[in-house]
Amino acid sequence: MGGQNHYLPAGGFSQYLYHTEGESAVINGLRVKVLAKIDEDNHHSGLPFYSNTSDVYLKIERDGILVEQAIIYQNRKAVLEFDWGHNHNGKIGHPSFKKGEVHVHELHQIDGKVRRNSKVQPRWMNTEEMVKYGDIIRFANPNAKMR
Amino acid sequence: MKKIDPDLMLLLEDDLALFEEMRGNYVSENERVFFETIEQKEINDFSSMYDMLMLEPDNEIGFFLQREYWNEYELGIGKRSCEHCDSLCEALNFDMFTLGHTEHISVLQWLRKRDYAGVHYDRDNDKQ
Repeated sequence: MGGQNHYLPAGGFSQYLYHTEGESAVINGLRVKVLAKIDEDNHHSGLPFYSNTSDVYLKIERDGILVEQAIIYQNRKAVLEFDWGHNHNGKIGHPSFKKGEVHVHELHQIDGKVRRNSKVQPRWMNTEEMVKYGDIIRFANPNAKMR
Repeated sequence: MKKIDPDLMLLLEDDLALFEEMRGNYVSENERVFFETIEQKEINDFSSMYDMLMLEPDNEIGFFLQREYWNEYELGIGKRSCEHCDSLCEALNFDMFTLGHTEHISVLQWLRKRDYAGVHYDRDNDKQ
């Protein structure tokens, strides 16, 4: 798994910057892996926006123990980001989230590249997401609060 | 300066206003470098794997500041705190006492006090 500049549409990456930690899993038909950046022990780096063969990548928190983020991929490109590793103060009219509460960022594409818009405020998981991804969140971190 | 995409300009409007306000009013050369470098990063470098401006070992209190995507920032002190901000403006105005620091001081004031020592501009993971 590599970065946006290493993504090869035909498959794989020109350079691999991440490795898998621990065991992979298949949950509700989705292939799930915990990723960490190679040669980094502080777990600060974000997850890649492009996957190799997995449907979900999980990111470990800076404590090196718990998972704090999950990214969902479709056709190898990130479409949803579930975060719960930090406080996120919502703008007026939008919810705020404490660390441990799952908030959802919807990602989009511009010219085929995955992008995230800081003006779009995160939200709670909806029912469909909880059904589809709830088991994965619980697998990642049983303490994460989904709603 | 290259023309900025209108959608990006809207996204960055708070920080573009900040950069304009700071221009010509820097308190030091290092402050000029800080704002001008980050301005270029926000306009040109989408960082999906994050841009590590400052990490815990870079300073004596374990403060970290990382840029994410275009203009989002995550900051905190050690493992005690982790906050997300939707702009550099918001990040620089953050009261470090909220993060666990011993005094009420904004991130900007704290950076100015140390004249931006410990800030790195060459740790954008997407540039590897």
